[in-house]
Amino acid sequence: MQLSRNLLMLLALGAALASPRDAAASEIPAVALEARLSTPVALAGAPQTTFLKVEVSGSRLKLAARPAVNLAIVIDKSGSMAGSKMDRAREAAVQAVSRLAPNDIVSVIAYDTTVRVVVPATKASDREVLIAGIRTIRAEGDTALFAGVAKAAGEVRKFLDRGRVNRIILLSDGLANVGPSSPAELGRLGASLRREGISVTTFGLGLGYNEDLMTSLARHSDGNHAFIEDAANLGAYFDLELGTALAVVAQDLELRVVFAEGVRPLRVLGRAAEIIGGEVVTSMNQVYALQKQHLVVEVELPPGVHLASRPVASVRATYSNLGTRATESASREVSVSYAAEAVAVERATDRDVIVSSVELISNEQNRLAVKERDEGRVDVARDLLKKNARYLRDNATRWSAPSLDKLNQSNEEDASNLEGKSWNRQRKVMRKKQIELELQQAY
Amino acid sequence: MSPSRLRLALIILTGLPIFAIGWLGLRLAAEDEARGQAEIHDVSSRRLADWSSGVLEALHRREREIALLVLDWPTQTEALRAALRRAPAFHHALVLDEKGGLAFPPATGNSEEERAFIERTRSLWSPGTLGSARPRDVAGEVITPAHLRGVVSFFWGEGLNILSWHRLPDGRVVGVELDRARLLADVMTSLPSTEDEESRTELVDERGALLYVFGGANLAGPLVERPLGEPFTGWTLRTHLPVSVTRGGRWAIWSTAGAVALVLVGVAVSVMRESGRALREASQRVSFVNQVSHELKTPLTNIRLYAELLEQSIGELNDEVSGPARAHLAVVVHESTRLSRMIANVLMFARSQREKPRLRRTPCVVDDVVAEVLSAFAPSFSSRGLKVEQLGAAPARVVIDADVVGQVLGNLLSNAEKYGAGGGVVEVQLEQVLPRTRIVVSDRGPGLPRADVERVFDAFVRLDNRLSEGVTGTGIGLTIARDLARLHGGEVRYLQSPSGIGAHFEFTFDSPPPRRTPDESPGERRMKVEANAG
Amino acid sequence: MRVLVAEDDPHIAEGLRQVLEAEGYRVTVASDGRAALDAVDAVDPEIVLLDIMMPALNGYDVCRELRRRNRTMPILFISAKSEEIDRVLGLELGADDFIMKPFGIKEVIARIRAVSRRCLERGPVAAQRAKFEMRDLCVFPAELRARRERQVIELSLRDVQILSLLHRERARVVDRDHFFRECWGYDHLPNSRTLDQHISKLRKRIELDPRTPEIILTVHGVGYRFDG
Repeated sequence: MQLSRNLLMLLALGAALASPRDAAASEIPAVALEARLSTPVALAGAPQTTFLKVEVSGSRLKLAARPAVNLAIVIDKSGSMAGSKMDRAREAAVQAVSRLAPNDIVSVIAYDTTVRVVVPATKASDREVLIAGIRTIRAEGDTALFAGVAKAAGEVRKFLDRGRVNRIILLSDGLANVGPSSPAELGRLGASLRREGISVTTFGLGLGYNEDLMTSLARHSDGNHAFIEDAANLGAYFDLELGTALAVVAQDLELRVVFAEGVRPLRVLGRAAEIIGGEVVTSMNQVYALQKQHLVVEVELPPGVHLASRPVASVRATYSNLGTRATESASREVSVSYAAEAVAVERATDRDVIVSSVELISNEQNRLAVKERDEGRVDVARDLLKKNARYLRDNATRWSAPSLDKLNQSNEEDASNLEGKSWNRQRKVMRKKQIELELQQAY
Repeated sequence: MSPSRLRLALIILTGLPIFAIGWLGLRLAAEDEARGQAEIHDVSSRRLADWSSGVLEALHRREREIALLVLDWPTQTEALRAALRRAPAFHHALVLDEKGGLAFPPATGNSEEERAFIERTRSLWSPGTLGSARPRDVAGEVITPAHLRGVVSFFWGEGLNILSWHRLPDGRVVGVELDRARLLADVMTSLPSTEDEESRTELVDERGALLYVFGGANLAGPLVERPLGEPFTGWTLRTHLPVSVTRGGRWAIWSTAGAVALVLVGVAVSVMRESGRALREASQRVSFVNQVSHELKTPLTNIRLYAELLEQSIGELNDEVSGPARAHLAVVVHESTRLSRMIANVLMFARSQREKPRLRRTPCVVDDVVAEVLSAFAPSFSSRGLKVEQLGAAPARVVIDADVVGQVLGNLLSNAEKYGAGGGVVEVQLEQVLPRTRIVVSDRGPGLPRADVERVFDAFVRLDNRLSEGVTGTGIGLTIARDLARLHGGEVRYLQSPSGIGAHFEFTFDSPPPRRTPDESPGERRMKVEANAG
Repeated sequence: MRVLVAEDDPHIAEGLRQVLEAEGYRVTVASDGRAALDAVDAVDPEIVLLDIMMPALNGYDVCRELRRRNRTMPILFISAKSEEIDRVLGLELGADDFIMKPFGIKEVIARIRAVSRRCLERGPVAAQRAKFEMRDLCVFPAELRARRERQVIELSLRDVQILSLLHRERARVVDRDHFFRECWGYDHLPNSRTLDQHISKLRKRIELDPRTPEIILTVHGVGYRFDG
């Protein structure tokens, strides 16, 4: 189900890529910026909280301007991969390499207890060497995941270029048991790589991998994450990943929201962001063609008088346009007006912002449920999820939002799989959904 | 003396020395092993030292980078934050004003993360600690007092963290907390990965936890350790010594002791032993030469090829100019072919020690093979005043290994060239009665004494110094010739001449006529080497 | 004919190039196995000389890959070790011949001619390969040989090209440019002495009396001629 949806998406993306280039396209900026409040009209007379949604969307990719890729494929070759998983992984990697253009750069790293740079960074035109190298990978030993990624970053760094899409694809079916192995450490490594413009996409294979490590690495480096239960689908996921990796329109985006005097940011929902005083800053490593990514900030508005209006925030996105390699920026001003009647407030409410906010709030509850469950409080976790489902159901009806209803169902499903054998699998499903919602991942 | 007493005396006489020498040998071997161990230990330590300095160098590079960066670091809080946000290797930073007070992160309007950073590093920058340490001489760099810098390590979170501090010319001190994950990644990148190293080497942190491992799967040898050094407090690199070598040392004791015993016991049969050992040594020598010879082939190919190319281009010049040059070059060409032949002999010998060489038979004509070999010898024969007289012919198309036949003939001619130079004539007699071919090479030199006839085919034998004067060679030419002939279903024999003049070597070999088969294997499709090419 | 030389020692490769070009072949050099495969795609050689121990991809693999791609051109292996040659034969890679290091010019020429003969004999343009006569000399282009009565004369590819040209243009003067165009190729710029030297050497082999040639006649200042 999930996969077929993804494939459809890929097809849509392909169609977008293939559509003829129109003359105006060259003038359209690579990134469109939007910022809206959930209640553009606030109730007068009292302090209140509202949600600000900042949305970034990538323009259509110009066919001629497909950015070059600097890719490192990291393959876990520890003992647990032995057998068909290893075969599939090799096959998928070979297939991935064959998809690249001659000008792309690729390296292949394999790790077990130690790390082997199977093919150092080289032009993808050296296909024979690459494929021959991939075919030498055999499964054995422990898992030095951190070192594998560190070495891969070293290879990507050899040709690090902000004009390319610099990416590491990590494929693992296990845990990290040699070297640093906490989600926090992997997360920090991911964050550091992101600042260099390198994203790590993590493919968790089977039911034995550590989803916390894998999602943390992907989240902090702004890469993608996939839970691939059946190794047979690996090839399709490589295709999806390369599809998005190839469809980057802008990189290195910094989003800065400066709040007006009297407006206070309370918390950021979704992607990681820093709140310093009256400012929220976050960054995205890349913006994909035709894809929307957003950030929701809960803010406290000062009381206002009927019919008055005041500035709330100014939003500014700075990024590097991969097509032109120029630094571009976009900005939006957001303001609120006050009304005494609740009806006016109700009428002006922005449904889309509300839905996004509810999604992200429920996502945090979902995270919390995992935490409770991890600490052994199954009942608390189940309660949380049920409550969350109800919250989603209510909002789905109120705002007639099918996406929320779907989330409601998936929370119900989560709630009924907290115990026994199914928990291990469900946890991976939950982690995958969490990161998907948080980063609005393409697949 | 009664027989039993004699036996006792003999046992004591041989037993005691064996014991004594064996004991001595053991002692020596033990020392030897210890010395070997020490050497390997030394080498391993040096490698560990190299790797540690590699890691430190990576850190120092980072420090230098920071040093340049902080010189024009923004003073404004927001700009500083932005700069930090973009720096991949930094976690947080602090700035102390001239009086040592905290100027950044600001006391108010700071993030939670910044507050945590201030707390965990407070003891490091509390007045007088940071920036007053003695300047460190980083990689031989001259440190001006205006730009003091240093690193301090502290433990927090997952373990060791590093703060790099710099005193700016204006008196402010900047401290940069290196991102621990990134620092680790940098350390890993500056160490080798597995494909480069044979022995397993580990980097462990202050708690003994593995941080990074590289190298092969050798885990059995003893450990050598080396602390990474400041500021990586408590981090250690350790490697396993190659196990084969340590075992080898032990093996050496036993082999030494065994050899000692063998030598003593072997006194009685020393003559046979002597010759046997000589042969063994010879073959060891050959196996070494075997290695080297392969290496020689590429340069030798170049020498031959280019000498011949030069010969061709000189040939196009007119004779007055090229006369002497051509003569000189002929020597180079000839010597290089001779060297080729010698190497071929050595390799063939070495190979025959290990396995039976395979024949590569192809259809060709013996006359052509002989003509080619003779043409290769022509220049050196004529320079020694030797004339070749060819009698008879072998014109049939037969299936033979032309290289092998050529090599045997070459060795026989080379022998005639060396020992029969005084005689003026070398006779090559051909005779073919299928499926056999017979070639006799005769010279008019001194010939061989009857007693030495068989010995001449032993490896590394040169009959006597009188004969060998001015003669060069490996001493295995005839051995090879006979081995190859036998391989080719034939023989090389020394014929006693009725007249007693000169040496006569008879080379016979198997030479069946070709069968017609529709499906020829690649080897059989090989063509003969045409002698009159070019 | 186009020959690919795949050999990682640059001097050997260059030496082979000179020897083969002098013979009349168009030579492409590749310094490792991968480059060799690329070169096969790029120039489509009719003969391949393949060193066994090469970086990137060894000779066995290159050969195997070429055969896998249904490339049937003759392949000659170059090797320093007879063990390697045994392996070539043992693996039945479809090798056509081999040259052992160290080798001399004569051996290279002999082997390449033998292989060329097989190529030419099964070559497509039979008409051009048909034998022809020049006075008492009978030239067999596909065999790279000529015959006078019972005497067999070995010819290089270039010799055959020169004789074929003269025969085709019989009774007409063939000028230098024409020779170069036809027998050396456009990308080769020999000086005029090259042709004269070549003709002089050829005469020594095919004329009864090279000082009073009867087959290749000199037309002073212009070129050469064969009077049919």
